[in-house]
Amino acid sequence: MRSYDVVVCLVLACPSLAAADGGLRVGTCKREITPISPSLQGAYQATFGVPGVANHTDPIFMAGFGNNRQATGYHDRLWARGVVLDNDGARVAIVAVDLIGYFKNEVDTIRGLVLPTSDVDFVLVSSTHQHEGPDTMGLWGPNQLSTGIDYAYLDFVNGRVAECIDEAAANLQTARIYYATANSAGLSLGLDPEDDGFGVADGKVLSGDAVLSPATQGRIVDPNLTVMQLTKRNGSSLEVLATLVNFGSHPESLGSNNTLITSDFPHYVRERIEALYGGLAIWMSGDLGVLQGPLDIDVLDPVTAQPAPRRTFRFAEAHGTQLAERASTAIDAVRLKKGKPSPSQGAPAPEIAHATVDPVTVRLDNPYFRFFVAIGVLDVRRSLYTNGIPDPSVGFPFPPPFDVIPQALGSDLQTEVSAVRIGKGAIAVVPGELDPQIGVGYRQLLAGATGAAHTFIAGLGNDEIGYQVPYAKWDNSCHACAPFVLAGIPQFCPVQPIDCSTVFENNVGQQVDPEVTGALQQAVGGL
Amino acid sequence: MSRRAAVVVAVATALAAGTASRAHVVYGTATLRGLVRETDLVARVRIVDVGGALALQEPIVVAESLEVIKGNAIDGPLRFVQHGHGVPLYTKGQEVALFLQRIERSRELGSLAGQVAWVSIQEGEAWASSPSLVGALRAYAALDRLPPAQQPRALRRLTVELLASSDPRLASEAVRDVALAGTAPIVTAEDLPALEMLLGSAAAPIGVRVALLAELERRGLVEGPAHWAKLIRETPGSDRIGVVRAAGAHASAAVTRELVGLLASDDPVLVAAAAISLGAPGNREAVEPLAKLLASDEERVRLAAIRGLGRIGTPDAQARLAQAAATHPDPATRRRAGAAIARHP
Repeated sequence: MRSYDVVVCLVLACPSLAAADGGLRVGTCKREITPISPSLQGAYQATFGVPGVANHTDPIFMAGFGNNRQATGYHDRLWARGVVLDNDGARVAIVAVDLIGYFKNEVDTIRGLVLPTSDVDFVLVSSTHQHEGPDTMGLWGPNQLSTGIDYAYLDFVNGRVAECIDEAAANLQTARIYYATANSAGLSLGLDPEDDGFGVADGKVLSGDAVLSPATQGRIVDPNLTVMQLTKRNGSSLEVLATLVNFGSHPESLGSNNTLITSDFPHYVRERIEALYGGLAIWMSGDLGVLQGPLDIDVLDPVTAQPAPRRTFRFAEAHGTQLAERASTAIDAVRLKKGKPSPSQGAPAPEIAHATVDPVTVRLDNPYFRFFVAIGVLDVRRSLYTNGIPDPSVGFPFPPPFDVIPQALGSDLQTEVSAVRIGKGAIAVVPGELDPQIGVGYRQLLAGATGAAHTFIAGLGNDEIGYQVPYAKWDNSCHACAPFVLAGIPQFCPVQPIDCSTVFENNVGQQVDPEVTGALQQAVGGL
Repeated sequence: MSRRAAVVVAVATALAAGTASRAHVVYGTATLRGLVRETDLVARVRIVDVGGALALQEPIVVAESLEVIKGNAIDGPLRFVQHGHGVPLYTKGQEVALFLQRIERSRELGSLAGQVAWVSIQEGEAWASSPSLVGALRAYAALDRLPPAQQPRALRRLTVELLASSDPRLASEAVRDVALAGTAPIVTAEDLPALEMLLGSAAAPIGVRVALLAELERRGLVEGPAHWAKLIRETPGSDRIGVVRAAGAHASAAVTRELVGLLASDDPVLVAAAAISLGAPGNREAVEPLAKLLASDEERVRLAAIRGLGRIGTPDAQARLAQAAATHPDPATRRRAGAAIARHP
């Protein structure tokens, strides 16, 4: 039997049926969050044609790959883009930020900054996990001992996101909502051994995956490209207020050698969507965990009729444009009737519900993390907890002769998990990088419990705690052998072979999956 | 050698190598030392072909071997594929160091074993060949050929040498090795004269100096507070911001005094950085100086003071935040102070 340490917050925020006089109202917003340092103000002006106000110190350390990658200029702006949806008093804000990840403590600050008059019941801040922007987690500074965060920039972001939500909440308009789910098959060329043609590649095959997906030698991706579109009536036509596109892939197509700030391929997704429909386009990253990404796929450049060179803006443009057009085709099939926009296809008063489990307590099993926390290399930027109380203690818990290896002793991390339902759509809000084979289960859970026809995964939602690997596919060899590995004598570990790939070595532990899944089940049950 | 000492030595050699991480989530890529240890072939090469855009499979990079530093000699061109999260870009004619594993060791790319023998696991920027790099690689490779008992001392000597390298990338790699070595004696009190000279050297990269000081303090080899205060005081220009940020994690009375002194600076960026670094839990000496900053005309400074006070978390810090939340003339500052109280009740 499973249990939870504390359930502080479980909110059922709306009636089971929309009131007869209720109706969907939607507000949209966007705020630029491009980091601008004094030395890059000239580059900012040269790129965008307007002066930039410095909001970040020099240098801007770029996140996602190695340390000390310093930004040298700009390609496109970074954004916080959001919608506030209201129906009959239930009001949720969904904001996607072009950032590598944003910890729960900062999200809670944003929640505290949103004006009470905005009357928002639930705030979702989902990071796109793009790898071509500033370090907001601290891991990519000048070296692994120095933070890459400029906290004043986080203050700036917090303020802008809160303003964005306030603005959207202050400008609600009567709207309708449409959903569509597309399949990403054919969005990449399948030339690479790791590319099965779904516009995203699985960079890590887990033990047992080959049985689950023999046709792809165990490579598993989530092909669901889910779309939410919000419209309002404008005379005899329908005006698109916002389009949200959700897909599970790392925005990292520019790779580790790029030093221009960019939101990566989501920039082109949004640009194309806005060109097609107007309104605001939002990219929300989904179940991108366990190494789902575009680094090992090829996409067709329609201009050259050849594969776009990898790790170029041309690649990002071709890939992003094709994702947008796939999403567009799907939503048009729903929204148009006889070739014209039809309000009858949209829902005017979708039920809005949300539920959150906070805190979700996850045991920190990883002896490597405990070692690096203990020696100060890895700052988890949040407390470890023991029995719900912050615990900074350090000790030497391994038996001799390994009792010289220090370990942080706090038991747990704390995070949060939510579920949101908006009419025929439902969102699983997960705090990290979800493996797509778990994502499939979450979609089934959402659909089965709520009747939702379209399911979304808000990856890195309101936190970022790293990979979530299926419990049953956990390979404990790396953690179990940690004392031997740390001591340089892995060959003497009684567990062999040892898989110390990044997925297992850099992972909170096997309990992430059951704890997050259990919390999500509980949240879904509260809808 | 006792078993305990043997483990310490083993930790020294193993952890200095960096762990086998190709992490994008947490603590980054393997160090240079780690790359040498983890790979089967280390070579200085000239890139001949980087694989075309029309490649029908994983692009195969072809290189001409100029020198094998670790592993067996290569006949003919060296063909390899790359795997990992953010692999280097190469250009034709470029001379670089390569770190290659036999492709049979790759679960994802093993199917290419009939076509290509090697996979590069290196991530991040390519290691352009230079005399200092090649010297370091030769030394690392030679170190692994020494009898185990001699390795720790040789590694220590090499690490200290590389810390002082005029190549900032090599120095940075060496200081990462020091950190990854935990408590193992990869640097010792015997090395202090050289290391203290490095700490005081304006020619050394500030990131290396900061990281090295943090490590020497953690190891108990130097008195941290006085060194941090001196480094804050004597570091000029924009480098000082980095020192101030790092010092925030090494709170002491001396550091607090130095940081409080910076609050009078005309540079709001420096003041904000100092205010945030003063926000160490329980740092009561900083409460009043930070509270004064709430009246600053600079929004950045006010927000930094709020963040600092929130982190301090003592009743007097909370009272200052409550006062600002209730009475500050700027509505945004009131909201932010209120949010900080909510986060640190």
